[in-house]
Amino acid sequence: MDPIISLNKVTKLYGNNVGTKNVSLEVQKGSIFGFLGPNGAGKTTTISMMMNLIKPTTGTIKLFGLDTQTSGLHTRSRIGYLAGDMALDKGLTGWQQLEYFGNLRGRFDKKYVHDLADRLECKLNKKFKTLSRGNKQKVGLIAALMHKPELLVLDEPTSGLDPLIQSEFNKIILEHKAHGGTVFISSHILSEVQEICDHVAFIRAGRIITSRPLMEITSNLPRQIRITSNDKTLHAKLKSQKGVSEVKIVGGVISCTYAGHADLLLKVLSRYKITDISIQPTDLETVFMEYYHA
Amino acid sequence: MLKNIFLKTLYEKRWLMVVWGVGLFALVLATAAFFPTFKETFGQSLSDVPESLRAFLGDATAYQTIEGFMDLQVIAQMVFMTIIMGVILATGLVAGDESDGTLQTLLAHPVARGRVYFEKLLAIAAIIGVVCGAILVAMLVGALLVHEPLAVTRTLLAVTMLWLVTLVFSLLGYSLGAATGRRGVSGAVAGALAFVSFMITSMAPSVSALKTANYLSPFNYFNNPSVLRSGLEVGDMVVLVIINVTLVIFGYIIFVRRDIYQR
Repeated sequence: MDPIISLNKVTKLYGNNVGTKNVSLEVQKGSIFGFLGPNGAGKTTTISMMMNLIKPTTGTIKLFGLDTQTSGLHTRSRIGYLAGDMALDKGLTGWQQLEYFGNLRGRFDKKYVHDLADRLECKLNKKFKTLSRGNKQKVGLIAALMHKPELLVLDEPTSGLDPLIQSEFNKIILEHKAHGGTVFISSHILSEVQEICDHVAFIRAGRIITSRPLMEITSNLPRQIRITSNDKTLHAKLKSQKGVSEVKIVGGVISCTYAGHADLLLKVLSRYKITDISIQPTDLETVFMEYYHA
Repeated sequence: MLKNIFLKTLYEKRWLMVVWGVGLFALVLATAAFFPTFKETFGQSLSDVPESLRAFLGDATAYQTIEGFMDLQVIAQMVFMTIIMGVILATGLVAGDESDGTLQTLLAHPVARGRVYFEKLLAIAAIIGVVCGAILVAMLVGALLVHEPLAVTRTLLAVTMLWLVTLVFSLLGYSLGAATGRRGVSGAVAGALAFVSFMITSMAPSVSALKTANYLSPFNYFNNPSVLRSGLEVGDMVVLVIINVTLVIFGYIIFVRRDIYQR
C-alpha cells in the first residue's frame, strides 16, 4: 500500500542556509506520526513544503501518492492543517471564519462544528482579535478537523492549550486514527506526543536523525529501576547481568539502570524474593537527549 | 458575504470602503458648493499668476465653467486621495496578509494561488470603483446644487480615468506585494513612483528634459488634457489599461511560483 505521506530526499536551501537536507520519511495510513525536534530544526519548513507553501530545492513530496507540486489543490482538499501560530482574520468571529473555510471547501457541517466547539470548550461568537492564544488555537483545531480530513497535519498543535483541553485533543486525535485517519504531528514538547504517536522521527539542523516506531525506540533505552529485596545475592547478580549498569544499594533498596527487553530482566528477578519494584518509564525527553548528544 | 475570497475581502474592507466613500463624497460636495465663489473671484486672481505656476494651478478661464472647476478642484485633487487609499488597501491584501500569517492559513486550503490573487485583485478594483463612484455621484449632485449641471457621460469618463490611474499605482503596490511579500517596500515604491510620475507630468510642459520621461509617466495619460473639458483621449485610456494588465500579469507570474514567507 502506498504511504499517505512520502518525502524523498527533500532539501530546502535558503541561500547558504539549510532548511532541510535530504529528508526522507514515509507515513502509513492510519498511523500517528510524531515529527520531533527543537525550534529551528526544520519541522515547519518540512510541513510548509508538504502544504505547498514553499517549494523544495530538490527532492519530491507525495501525499496520497500524488506529487504536491502538481496536485497541491487536490491533496490540500484531503488535509486538515493547523499552523503552529495560527493566524486568522482579526475582524471575523470564530464562527464566521469557519463558515468561510467551509465555503472554500464546498461543505460546512454546522452540527459537527458545534460538536467540536463543545468538546474543546471553544466560544465561536467572539472576534478572533479578542481571543486568547489558547482559544485561537482551538478555532484553528476546529478548522483543521471540521471537514473530517483523511490526513491531519498539525504543527505544534497544543501550544497554548490547558491540560484538560490537551487531553480532549488527544482523544479527538485517537478517534481520528480509529476511523482510519492519519496524523502528522510536529512538536518540541516531547511528552505530549508520546501519549499518542505510533512512530516518531527526530530532526536536527534540517536532517532526520532517526525515524522508528515509538515502541522500538523506547524499549531499548535505559530505564531507572528500584528494587526492594532482602536477598543479598541479588545485588551481585544484577551487577553481572547484561544491560544492567549503575547498580547501587542503599539500605534494602537496589537502584540500577537497565537497557534491554523487560522480559529478560523480569525472568532473572523472578528467581529472587522481591518485596517491591518500580520501573520508571522511558520518556521521549531522554530519548531525544540520547540522540541529540550522540 | 463569506461565500468566496472576493466577497469576504469586500466584507473585511467594508469600513475602509464606507469611510473613504462617504468622506470623499462629502469633500467633493463641499468643494462643489464653492464653485459660485470661485467663478466670481478666484478665476480673476489666477490670471495674475506667472505662467510657470499655471501648470500646477490651472488656467484662470477653467474656473469660469463647472467642468473646469470640477476638473481642477475634484478630479486633479481627488486622485491623490484615491491613490493613497488604493495603495494602502492593495498592499495589505497579499503582502499584509502574508506578514500577519492569514495568507498561509488561506493557502493551506484547497484554493489555487491564482484564484486568491485574482479574487483579491477584483476586490481592490471594486472597492476603488465604489469610492470613485461616490466621487462621481458627488460631482453630479454638487453641480446640480449650484445649478450648473455637468454632462453625465464626460463626468463618468473622467471618473473612469481617475479609477484607472488609481488602479495603476494600487496594482503596482499589489503586484510588488504579491511578488515579494513585503508590504512596506511595496507601498513605499508605489507611493514614491506615484509622486515622481506626478512631478514629471506636471513639470514636463515647462522642462524640456522631462518630455521623454513623461511618456513613461502614468500621469501623462490621466486627464491630460482634461476629460471633462476636452473629452476622452481613447489612446490614453488604452495605455492605462495596458499598464494595469501588465502589472497584474507580472504579479501573478511571480506570486504563483514563489515561496510564501513562514512566520
